[in-house]
Amino acid sequence: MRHKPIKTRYKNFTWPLFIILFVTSAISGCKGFGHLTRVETVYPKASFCEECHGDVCREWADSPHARAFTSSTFRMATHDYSFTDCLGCHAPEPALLATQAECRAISREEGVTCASCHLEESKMVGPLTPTGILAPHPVKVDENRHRNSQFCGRCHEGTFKEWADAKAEKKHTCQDCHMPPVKRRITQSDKPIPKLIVATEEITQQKKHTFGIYRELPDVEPFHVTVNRDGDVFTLALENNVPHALPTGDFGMRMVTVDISAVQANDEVVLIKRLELMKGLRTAIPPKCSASWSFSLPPGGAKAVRCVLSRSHVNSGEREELYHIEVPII
Amino acid sequence: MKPHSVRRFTAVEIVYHTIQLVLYLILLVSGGMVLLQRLFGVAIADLAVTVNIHRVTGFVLIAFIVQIIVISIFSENFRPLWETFADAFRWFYRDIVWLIKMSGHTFDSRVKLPPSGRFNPGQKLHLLVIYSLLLVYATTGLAMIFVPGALGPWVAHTICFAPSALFLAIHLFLSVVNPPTRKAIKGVVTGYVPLDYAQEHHPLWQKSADPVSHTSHVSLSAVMLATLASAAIVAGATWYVGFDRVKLKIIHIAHNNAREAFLPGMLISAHAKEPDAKQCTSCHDYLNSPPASKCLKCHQEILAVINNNQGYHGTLTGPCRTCHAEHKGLRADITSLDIKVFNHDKTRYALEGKHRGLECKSCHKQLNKNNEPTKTKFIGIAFETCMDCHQNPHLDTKDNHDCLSCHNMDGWTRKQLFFDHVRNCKYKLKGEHIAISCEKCHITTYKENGVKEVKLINIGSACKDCHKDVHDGQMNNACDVCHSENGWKGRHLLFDHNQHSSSKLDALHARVSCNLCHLPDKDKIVRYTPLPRQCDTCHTDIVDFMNGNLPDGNAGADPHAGRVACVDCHTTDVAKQLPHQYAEKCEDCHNPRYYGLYFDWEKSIARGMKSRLSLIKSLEENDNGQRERITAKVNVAEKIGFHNIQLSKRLLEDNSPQP
Repeated sequence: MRHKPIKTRYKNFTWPLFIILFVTSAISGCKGFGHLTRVETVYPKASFCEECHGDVCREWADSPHARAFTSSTFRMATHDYSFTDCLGCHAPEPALLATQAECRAISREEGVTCASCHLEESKMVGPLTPTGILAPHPVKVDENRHRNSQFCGRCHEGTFKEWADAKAEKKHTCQDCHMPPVKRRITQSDKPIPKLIVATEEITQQKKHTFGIYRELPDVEPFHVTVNRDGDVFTLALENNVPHALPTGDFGMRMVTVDISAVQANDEVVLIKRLELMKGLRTAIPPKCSASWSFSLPPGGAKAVRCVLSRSHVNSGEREELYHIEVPII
Repeated sequence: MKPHSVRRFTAVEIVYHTIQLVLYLILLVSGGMVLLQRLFGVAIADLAVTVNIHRVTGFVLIAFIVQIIVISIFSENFRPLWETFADAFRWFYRDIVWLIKMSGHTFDSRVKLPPSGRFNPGQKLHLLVIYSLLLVYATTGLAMIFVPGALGPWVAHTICFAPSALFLAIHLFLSVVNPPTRKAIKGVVTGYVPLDYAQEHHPLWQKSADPVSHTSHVSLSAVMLATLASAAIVAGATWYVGFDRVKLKIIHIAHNNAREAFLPGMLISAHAKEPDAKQCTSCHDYLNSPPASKCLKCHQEILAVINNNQGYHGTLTGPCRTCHAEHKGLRADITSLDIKVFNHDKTRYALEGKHRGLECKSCHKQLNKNNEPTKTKFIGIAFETCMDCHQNPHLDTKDNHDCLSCHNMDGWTRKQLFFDHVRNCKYKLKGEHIAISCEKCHITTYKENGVKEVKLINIGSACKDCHKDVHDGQMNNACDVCHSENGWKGRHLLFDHNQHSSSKLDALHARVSCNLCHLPDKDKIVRYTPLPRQCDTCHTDIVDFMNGNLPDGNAGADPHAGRVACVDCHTTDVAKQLPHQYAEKCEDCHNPRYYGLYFDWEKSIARGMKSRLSLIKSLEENDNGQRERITAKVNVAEKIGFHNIQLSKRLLEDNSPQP
């Protein structure tokens, strides 16, 4: 018996259907956009966002937020993720879904990911108004939410409290210092269709998602160092102008070392004193406060005193220099 | 009626003579055997059997004669016995002549004898002698049995043997051997003798028409023959026993006045040794049983006891031999004491307590010159003081001390002691001193003979008199400042570190054992010199753990090491810091979240510990030391605890580094 081909039955509908499918798939990049804002078996991952928001995602990928869950320090400090209290901030659900930071069930390895801050009710929330002709995912604009310190304070409780308690005339927010300003389009893509879609976007003032330390605030000197002399005894005073303690942070044995060195006539640097600043040791310098240390110059004298602040690992001695200043000796 | 015979004896006389002859023979033979055995040691039959046969036969003979006498009173048939007996008492002048001439007639038949009646004088004499002997025998024999130990009856009874034997020998010779007279034997067998014999030998009884002018009564040759036969028997017996032995025996018998003849047995050795032992009269009377006075002449101690009605012998009555029969042999025990049933309470020294269970010879012993016990001695044991038996083990006390003021008979041990150290001594025992054994202070030594010597006085009441100063004089012998009798250490220690030492202890160290900090020096003496107050002086292991220093290398320091003081986490003003107090310490430096983190870590470590322990349990014995490695790691982790929590955690993980 001869088999009758099925397609002959739909002969009259084949062409219109093909055209519709082509158009929609071309628009959607062959996938559709629902996955970008839907929390199901597949979480809205940073890699999804990266297809359009490339710069932001690359900045995020180098930031501590991306390593919040997978870093070995965190793994050790929670005894291999067994302390569940910690997980809420290190792999949080979308911030707006819950009143408190709670841990995701899936894709925890992304740590504090895009969705943790920007996903709400199947919409992406942000302070910027879309300027393109088409938004593939639903967007909700909330100008204030991401621009104040309170939003960060959901997780960075201690630091936020320090910031809130700091008596400063003009307080910078977290975002002012830790998210440097940048002018760019909100999306960057090298694929033809997304490129086509965002081509009409305007260049706007934005914030980088590096979440690091922005050292070049134009109007603020974060730390002020003065050196006073009383005979052979020198006193170095370090004033903390940032609106949180130096160092800050509630967990993880955060430590800042202060190296006081003498710069001698032959430009040789001799370490005079190394001081450890830790909150647990009560040596952290609160906001708008200063600490002072006395020292004597090493034999041979010095033409200047150098003060170096470094973020240090509590055991290994690895240091990352944050700030340094030289005060000449008169 | 036989024409040539004449009736000489009635049937009663024949039966009487026969029975008496048999019994008399038995008695003589058995008596002779006893004498033979006692004098010469010749045992033909068992002595006891022989003696019993002799006794029974004696009684039978006496009973027989008494019976015949009684019957003869009532029976006419028995009257001839009395007539015959009466004949023996009818003596005439011619009878005396007959007897005198008889000795001559024996050797020369030409010597003529006066005529005789139915019984010639020899027969009459024989009858008299026999009945005299029977009387003596019966009297002495009964006396020997019923008056035991009287010497006279024994002597008489024994001496009588000689005449009896002699007269019986003559009687038998004449009636059986001697040819002229043996024809008369028919008389006591059939009752008739030949008429011619009667007319020839008893002419006054059977008058003859033709009197025989000369009769021969004794055949000299028969006498010689009989004498020779007797001599031959004696010679043969002597040869058989041995001449020297017989000679010695005879000398011995002569020397002892034939004492052995009536010696029923040897004296016991103790009596035999006495110089008077060979003198029977030392103990015996001739007519009475041996009197107690003769025993007590030597046994003065018994005499004293009896006179005072004291002791066991004082309660007894009756002669000594009731219990102490002698002549039982040289080694016989004549004390006749049954130690199993003897009631010692009847003596002057009633036994109490432990004395009841002792062997008799523990106390009743005879000591020789070297104070060695030789034998059991029951009488005359001194008992007035304990020292009579016991030796004084207490040094420095006099022997006349009243033992019973402290001891009783129930034993020596402390339980039985009356002595109360609190009541009876100026050194009052308290606390632990009450419970320790006496020898701890009252030093006991043993003398060469094994007797204990206990030092009771001059012990001294200062601690150092008994105790060694383990502090080597550091405390100037002021023991009671820190110690009491209730115990040396622990809760009994009066020492209060905060009161008696210049160094005050915090609550954390208040209950720490002294020797954890105060270690002994090379002489094993603990010097209580002030110790440095830094934690790491003693807790060096914790310092090492915090710095990550394990025996085989550095395993990573704890972040707190070198930055945090011990007292930042450890409160010194509580003895036992509780987990929540530690958690509060975390919170104090860090932030409130660390309170919970403390418990998180505690749970994690505990869980790790539990899983490692169950793993250790599941491992086989022979697993190439894996079990030991894991156990070592767990032990180290347990010591480390929170002091280096990452190290603890790694040690409890599967692939952790070797500790």
